[in-house]
Amino acid sequence: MSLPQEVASSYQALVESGNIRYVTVPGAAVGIQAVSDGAAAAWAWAAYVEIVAAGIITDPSWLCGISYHTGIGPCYGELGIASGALAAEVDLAIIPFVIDIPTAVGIAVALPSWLPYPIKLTGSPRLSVTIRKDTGAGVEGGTLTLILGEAIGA
Amino acid sequence: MSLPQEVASSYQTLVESGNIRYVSLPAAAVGIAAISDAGGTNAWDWSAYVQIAAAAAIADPSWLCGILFHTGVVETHYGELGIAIGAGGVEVDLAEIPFVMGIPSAVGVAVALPTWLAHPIKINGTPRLAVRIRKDTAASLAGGTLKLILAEAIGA
Repeated sequence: MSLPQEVASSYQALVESGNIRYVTVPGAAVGIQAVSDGAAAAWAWAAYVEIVAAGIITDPSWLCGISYHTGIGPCYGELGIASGALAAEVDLAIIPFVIDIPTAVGIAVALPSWLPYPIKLTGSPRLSVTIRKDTGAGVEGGTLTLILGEAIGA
Repeated sequence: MSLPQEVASSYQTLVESGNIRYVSLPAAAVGIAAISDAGGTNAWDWSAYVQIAAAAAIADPSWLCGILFHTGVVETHYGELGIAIGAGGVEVDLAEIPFVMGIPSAVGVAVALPTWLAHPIKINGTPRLAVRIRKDTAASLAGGTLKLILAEAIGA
């Protein structure tokens, strides 16, 4: 991309940003069960769980944020959000989290967490997630929804 | 806009940003009751739109920068907000944002701070703003109270 094109694209993303749209993945669903696999030791990565198959998301899209909720078992951990085919996943973002299970007062509003620097995804790749946590082998984790941006810089 | 103007505007946004202002919408109010409609919607069906601001009410241009969603009603649920521009019957969603709404059953205080968009969305021409929701529970008046955070003078 030429310098004038880069400047124009930056301007579109920062200022003249009327074309940008946000979508949730998966849409119309509670989310993906991003939980450990019952086999991984403390702080060992679990197997990847597919969020969306290849060829589904808009090309290009930007990973802008996540919503993570509906915990199973209290734990402290990290999410690895990846692109790539099965067994060839590459982590794009490793994000820490705390999952707690209230016993008396329920849960309150949980709004998404946003990345300060969205990550561009080209070629509508398969997306998946892995987790690791401080507890021993178990199926702790939560339910994950991604927020993707479209038309950034356009 | 010329290339030098675009560079200057980008610089104003990133560095020389003293003119930018944020406003909450609706102002001086708890927020808009962004709740589902009682009889019409099944699980994950979009509800009807609820108006947030009439046309010609916001500054031109403004940028949608963030939301605060709180004060849940009816039941705990998981859902998505669709924030839109456009006249009644021709709304176009700008942002679909997931949320979790819980209804605490004992006395306490839970802080709910705003959530911010990674890339603010420019809104030209002071359009009408509206919101709809869809959720995992069956037809009910569940939802919450929504405020928008708009920015003004970005790039100026």
